[in-house]
This record gives sequence, C-alpha cells and structure tokens, in this order.
Amino acid sequence: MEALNRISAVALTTFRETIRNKVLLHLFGFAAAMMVLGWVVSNWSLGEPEKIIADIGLSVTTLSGVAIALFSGIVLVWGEVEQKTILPILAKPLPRRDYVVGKLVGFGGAVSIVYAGMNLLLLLLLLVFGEGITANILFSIYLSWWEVLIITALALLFSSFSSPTLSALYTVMLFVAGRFSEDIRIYISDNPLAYSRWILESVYAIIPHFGAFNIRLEAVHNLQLTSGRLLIPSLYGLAYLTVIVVLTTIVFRRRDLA
Amino acid sequence: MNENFKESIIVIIGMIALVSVIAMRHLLDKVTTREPELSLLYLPDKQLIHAFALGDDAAGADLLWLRGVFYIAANSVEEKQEEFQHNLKNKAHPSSGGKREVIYDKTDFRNDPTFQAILFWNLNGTEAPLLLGLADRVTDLDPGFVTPYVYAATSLALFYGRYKEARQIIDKGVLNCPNSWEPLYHRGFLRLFYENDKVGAAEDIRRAAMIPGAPIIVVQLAAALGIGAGQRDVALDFLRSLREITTDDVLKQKIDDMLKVYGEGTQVVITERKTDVKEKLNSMFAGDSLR
Repeated sequence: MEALNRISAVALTTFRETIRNKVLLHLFGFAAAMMVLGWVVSNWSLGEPEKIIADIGLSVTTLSGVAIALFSGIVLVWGEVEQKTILPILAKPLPRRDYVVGKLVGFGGAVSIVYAGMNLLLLLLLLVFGEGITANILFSIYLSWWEVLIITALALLFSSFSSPTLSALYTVMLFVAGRFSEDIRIYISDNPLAYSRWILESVYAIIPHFGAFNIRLEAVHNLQLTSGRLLIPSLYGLAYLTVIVVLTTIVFRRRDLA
Repeated sequence: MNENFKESIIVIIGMIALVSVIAMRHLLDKVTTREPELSLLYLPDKQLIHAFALGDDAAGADLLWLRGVFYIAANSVEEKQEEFQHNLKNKAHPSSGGKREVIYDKTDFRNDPTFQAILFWNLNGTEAPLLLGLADRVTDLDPGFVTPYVYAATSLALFYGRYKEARQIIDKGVLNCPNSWEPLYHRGFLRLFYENDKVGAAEDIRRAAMIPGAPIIVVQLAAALGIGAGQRDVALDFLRSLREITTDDVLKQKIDDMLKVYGEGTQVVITERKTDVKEKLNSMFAGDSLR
C-alpha cells in the first residue's frame, strides 16, 4: 500500500509536468492539422474518400503519439538528473524502483490522454465525413496505443542513462526496426545461411514487434478480425512493457547520480 | 531623424516588400511550372514506399495514389478533347484521320463508328503506362483499395484504347476485392465493349449485382442483359449506368457527348423492386441469353 502511495505521488507529479509541456500542445495541433488535411485531400482521390480519411488519420494519430512519447520522454529522467532536482526526491524514503514505475505511469497516462484526444478528433472526422465508426477502427486505435506505450517506456529507459540526443537516436532506431520486424521475419525465412539466420532471429526476438499492433488495413476495409488478433498483441505489449520497466529499474538502480 | 519617422520608413519598406511578394507570385508560378515531360511522376517501387511510410502501407498507398492523381490531372486528357470531339461529330474511326465513315456492320454495335470513336480512340498520352504502374503499385500496397483498379481500367480503356492493360488491372481488382461490386461491373464493361464477350460480361454483371451495396442501376443492367435486350439498348444502358457510377468528370463528359451523338435509345426499364430483380437474376442467366 505504501509503495502504491509513493508510485502515485511520483506519477501525479510527472503527469502534471508532462501535461504542462508545450511540445504536447504543438504536436497535438500538428496532428489535428494533418487530419484535417487528410480530409481535404481525400476529396481529390476520385473515390473512397472515407478510406483516405481513416488511413491518414490512424497513421497520423499513431505517429504523433509516438513523437509525443519520444520528444517528451527523452528528457524526463535526464532533466531531473541534470538539474539535480532528483536528489531531494530520492533522499526521501523512495526506492528507485518506485520512482521509475511512478514516472512511467504518470508519463504514460499523460501521453495516453493526448493520444485519446487526437483519436476523439479522428472519430469525429470519421463520423461527420467518413463512413462512421466501426469496431475495427476502435480496435486499431487500441492496438496502436500499445505501440505508443512501448515507445514511451523505451524513451524513459534510454533517458535514465543517456543524453537526450542519444536517447532519441536509440528510441527512433528501435521504433524503425520494430516497424520493419515483419520484413525481418520474411528475410529470415528466405535466408539460407544458418549463422546469419541465428543473428537475425535473435534481433527479431528482441526488437519490439510493432507490426503486431498494426491492423490499420483491416480497420479501413472493415475486414474480419479474430479475438486472437487483438488478445495476443495486447499480452505481448504488456509483457514487453514489463521487460522495459524491469530493465529501466535495474539500469537506474545502478546509476551513480552524485 | 526622429524615431516615429524611422518606424514609418520601416513599415513602408515592409509594405512594399509584402506587395512585391504578392506580385511576384504569378511570376514565380510561370518560372516554376514544369512542362509535362519534365514533371513526369517518379513511381517508387513497393519496398521503397513501404520503408518511407514506416511500414504503414495503406497510408503510403494513399499518398502515392493522390500524387498520381494530381499528376494525371495536371497532364489531363481534357486538352486533347477537341480532337476527340471532332471524331465524335464525324462518327469517324481514329484510324480514318477524322474523315466520316458510314459503312459498318449494324448487327454488332461495336462496329458503329460512334462507339469506335469512343472506345478505340488512343490519345497516346504519356500518362497511360504510368497509370497502369501507379494503380499496380498502389494496389500492391493496399489490395483492398478499389478506386485505383476502377479508375485505371476505365481510363486506360476509354482514354487510351489500352484495353488489354485495363483488363490486366481490373482482373487484379476482381481477385483482390471479392466483396466489391465495382471491379466486376467494370470488367463486365470491358468484356462487352472491347472483347465482345457477351456471356462473360453478363456473368460479371450478374455477380456484381448480387454483391451487397451494388446500386440499383447495376441490378437493372444485369436484368437487361439477362432478358437479352437489343444490343444497342444494352450498350446504351451500360453507358448510362457508367455515367451514373463514375466520379470522374472527364469520363462523364465523354459519355454525355456519346449519348448525345448516338441517341438516347430505348431504355430497358425494370420496374420491379431491387430485391425481386435480384432473386430472378440467377434463373435469367442460365446459359447465354444474349442475342
């Protein structure tokens, strides 16, 4: 119970700090502008404008969510360490583990709220100009949220031991690699060399499988989805998030902040 | 010089600059507008778009499609309409060099010079090969995107006379979009008008009419084909339905011109309700009922 209180105290402070960050507002504005632009250009497509609104909208909300997580996350721990504001916090009876979990909960909550706001705008656009809101669209938003959360956690992990530039570089690299995980799998199946197969399979196992969270094609064409297509990526996301939190805790616990 | 004067000078300079910016916009448009040959659309391959869109293939497909549509609109066939109108007026086959040809086999509507002028007029546009490649790549990225199949097929056939390529892309659409009536309907059009395959066309239109969401005009057309209405009437019905369905204004205009010159004909009117017509379609299409 005490641990929960400590975590919620850190989470609440982090949530407030993040929400006040102007980067969030700018990226939200950018996402809104892109969605409206998507609606404008959809009328020039000679057909299926609602598909283009949904495609561009879903893509923009996910990418903006990732960008918010990235730009705000990379300075999260680093900023407190640099300004030494972390020292009085950790001087209190607050284990570093609780600090990390609290940071992630607060930051993840703030990013999720902004992500939800962007998607509400998208749903409004779909309701007014598109073909309405389907369950598949909502599922797609839900699965992309896991992608945003994993990027949030990765940014926090890198922020706990390196500079913002390097954190951004590492997070972007993992994001891009994760987006192409499906291609790595295809490449593995076509690759006859055993030793490189082993390396690639290791890479494939480690990097986040963001392709699993992408059901945007199924969403826009309203194709049938199995419950496993939603459940398994959710469990995978939860497991991956746990791994990152544990890793962040270990790294941060060993870090000399003096 | 006092401060107020200096400030006034700065404001005046700013206003002159602003007026210059606005005035120069037209000049800029002139010098930056490229000739069509110079602004050829580069068609990146599927893998490149996949990488560029960070694996978001559907959004990548949309952006490529919109870029292609803008290009084709900029190099539109509209400017070539005058030549087309001349041939249409003279009911001349393109190969006749615009001279009137009146002798044709009236038993087959495809030999009618008006139809010939419409269907086989090759504009030789540089956009034609691009259109096939564009539609092919967009639909590789998003196989469920119906518009590129339909637009590319109708444009390739009706504007460039390249119906083999049109057939190629629409066949891909029929395969990839089994729940959409549009590729089947347009394949039926190509089969009837360009391949004279009445049985195949009737079967495609019947299948299109049975798919949920097919407009009533397609169902009526299927019925007209099924009851073996006269060729001319069926052809005109087909064009009327295409005019109603298409979103492309240039194509609409082309069909309007054609209907004006060729005559309104007798429309095969199906007065029954859509569901009743649908129920009867299967029995109507037992064998080749077209004459």
